[in-house]
Amino acid sequence: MIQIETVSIRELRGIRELTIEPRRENFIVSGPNGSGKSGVVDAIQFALTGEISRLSGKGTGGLSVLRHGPHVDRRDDPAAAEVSLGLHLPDSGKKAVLTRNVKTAKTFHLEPDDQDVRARIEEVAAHPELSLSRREIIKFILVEAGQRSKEIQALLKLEEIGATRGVLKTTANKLSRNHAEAQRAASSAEDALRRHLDAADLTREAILAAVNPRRRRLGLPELEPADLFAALDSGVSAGSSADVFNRDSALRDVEALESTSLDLSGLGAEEAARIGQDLGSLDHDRALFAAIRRRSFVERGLELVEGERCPLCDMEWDDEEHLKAHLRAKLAKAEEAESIQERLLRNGAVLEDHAQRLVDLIRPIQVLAKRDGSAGFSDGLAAWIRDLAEFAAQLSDVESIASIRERLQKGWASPPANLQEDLAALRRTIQAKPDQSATVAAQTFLTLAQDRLVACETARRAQRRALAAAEAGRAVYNTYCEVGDGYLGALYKEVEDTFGSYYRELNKEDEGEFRAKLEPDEGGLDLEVAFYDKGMFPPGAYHSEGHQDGMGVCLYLSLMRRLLGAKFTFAVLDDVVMSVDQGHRKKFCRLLRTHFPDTQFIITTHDRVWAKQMHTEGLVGSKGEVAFHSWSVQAGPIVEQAKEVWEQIEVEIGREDISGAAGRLRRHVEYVASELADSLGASLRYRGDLAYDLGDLFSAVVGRHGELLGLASVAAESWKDAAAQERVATVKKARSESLATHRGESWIVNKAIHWNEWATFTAEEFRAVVAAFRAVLDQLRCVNPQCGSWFYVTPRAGDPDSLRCRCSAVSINLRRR
Amino acid sequence: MAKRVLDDILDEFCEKLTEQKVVDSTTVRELRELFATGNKLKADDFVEILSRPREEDAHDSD
Repeated sequence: MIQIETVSIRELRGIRELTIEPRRENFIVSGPNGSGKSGVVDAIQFALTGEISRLSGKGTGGLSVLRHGPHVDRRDDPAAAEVSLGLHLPDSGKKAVLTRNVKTAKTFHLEPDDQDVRARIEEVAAHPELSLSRREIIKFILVEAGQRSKEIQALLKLEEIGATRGVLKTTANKLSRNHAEAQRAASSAEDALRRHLDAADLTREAILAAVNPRRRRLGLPELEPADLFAALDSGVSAGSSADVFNRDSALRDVEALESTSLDLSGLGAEEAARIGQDLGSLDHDRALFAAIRRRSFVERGLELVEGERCPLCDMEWDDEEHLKAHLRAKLAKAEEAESIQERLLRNGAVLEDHAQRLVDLIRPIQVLAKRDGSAGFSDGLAAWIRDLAEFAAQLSDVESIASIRERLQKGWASPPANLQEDLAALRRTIQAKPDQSATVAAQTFLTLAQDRLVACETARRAQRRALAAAEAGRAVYNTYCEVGDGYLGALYKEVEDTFGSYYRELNKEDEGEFRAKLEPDEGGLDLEVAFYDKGMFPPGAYHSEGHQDGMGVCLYLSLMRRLLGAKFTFAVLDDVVMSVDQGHRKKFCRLLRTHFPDTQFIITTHDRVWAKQMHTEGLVGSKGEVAFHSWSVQAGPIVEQAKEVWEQIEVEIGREDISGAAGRLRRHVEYVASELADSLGASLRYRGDLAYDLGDLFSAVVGRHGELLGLASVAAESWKDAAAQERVATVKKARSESLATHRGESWIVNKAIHWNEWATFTAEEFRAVVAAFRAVLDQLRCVNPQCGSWFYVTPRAGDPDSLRCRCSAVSINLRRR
Repeated sequence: MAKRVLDDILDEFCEKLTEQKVVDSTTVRELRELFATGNKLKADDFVEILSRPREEDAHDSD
């Protein structure tokens, strides 16, 4: 992919103007919290992708790169915010400068405009995981299996597998529901035929036993079992079946509805009561109900996502994947809601089935009632059919079920008033009809039998098709899961091995036998890790938070190795190294150095000791760090070792902004003095509030430096090392000269004068102050322009052995013979 | 990597469906075509393909 040579930032986030030079090497951005480090991460991410993750995703509604990307003082001028990256392509050696402006964030300028480089930048943009923050590492470890699977598949760009699996599961569910509906329709059609034939079952023999006596009576040939597919009424004079009336069959239809309507209140009563209970439990937990309502809403929204605009609220997201991830996270929160939702829908489906079957019983009666029923009975039945159909349709989602709660409590069937009486009257009317002649009875019986047989066969055929489709849907889903899990299983096995080996390297002393198991399961991904020799457990079970963080980093690195292989040439670790506890830092540096020698890591950390350790362990070179401090809205971060501090002060003096220059100088010197007090081991009178000011710090540092040079003189003399004696003497002489200048301005550190007094100085007066401080500070750092580091003593604890700089150009022995 | 894995999964998926004979060759072809469109997959499209009358249904409709 790419590596970064330079980063130039102008008016972006908390940074006004800054250039850093990682030079394709590992690079640290260090500084206390709030010093502006994240601005560098944002800038790199913005330049490469046009996005800033801090301004998108969960909890960032209303934020955007265009409006909130520029520095707050330039918020109305997005064109002022710009980042340039000097890029290098490791495999081809090509170089280019990428420039992206906030105003035109979707595009970037490339100089020279090389298609190959452009393609690589697009490739990097498709891998937002190249920038990893501390809060993200734990998402692979302490999440439930389904979410972990999504996170890891998203990282590996394999989320399409999960999405396809979801679509196929929905397909299988829909086909299964279609089958259930077809099954019910077939069962109703069979009931209607059985009732008409007055038969116990629908075997061929039973059908022929009902049909053939009528055919004999009409002088028609009897049917053989093999003839069953021929018309049962063949030979009967044709007539409209709608007008056909068979008294006995009609009576059986009426009796069927009468019998069912006797206990309508008991029909599905158990399921209605369970629904009532579940809805009742939601009354006690409105948040749960809200979660359910949201869940079905979000589920629907997730299905409808197409592009960057949310189908639910119409808000535009940076990209479709962020939007989907946001909606999925909402769904994951509602597990309890999910189980209640499933129960409500399951019981609803049973009631729906009852309602549909009832409609099937009512339909033939409504036809009979039109001719022979009491006034308005047929219309009442037609209205009941419509009402039951509407009721059935309301049982397919939770909100609708909740909306018919009262009906479920009162009795959902809601028959028309006087149903029993009207049915009895209809029955009596039919019974009172004069007997049909044997011939007419036989003719109408056969015509209706044929009608119902055809309806029954049609419904059975539809049911067989629906069954085949449902089986196919399940098989297709299972096959996809089986194949997908097979591939993912192999991939996870590889990741789990690498993850285990990285973690063992970090924790060799206490967890040298560490093992991990990543196992796909029903769309989820279980992670278990060995806890000493006590067995395999979820990572959050017994391991400390520090160890869990370490696991997150190791899993991330192993996933990136699997995802990008040799293309893993660059990553930003935003405060991620803080996850590695003190005892394992050395090994962590070694891990990155030995396993990722071709990867450029841009690392931010607020822990200066950790930053120094990365230097000591050779993870970063002597120039591989920029240290920030004392961020302010007006000035942005102050870069500690940069000559730019002095240049910026001079610029401010030049435009007679003595107040700005004074503030910058004070913050800079205070910060450097506190660093030097620590690195040289200066003695300070302890303050409970740790609010040491420049007077405390500066005097202690200067004094300690003098002490150390004294030790160096004594040591050189004891070793009879003339060259060393001369070197130390030279340093002491230069120090005395600078201090002489400083003493001339000693009143500037006089506590009696508040620092703000500087603001009243003339430009020339203040230049003298600046020069005095600079002269003293220059005595305390390496003059090698490639190093420039502040001096420090080793070891950090106990009597000092040497006074050094990072590049070792300065290495003064302090130990006597 | 992702595209290659997804293509491999699709190939093996179609191969297994054919072997298992739960769906006929026409259905497998139609499923593959649906994946190949590159459009967002929708359950209703799968429902339509899997619900189409197949060879054995032809006898039923006589």
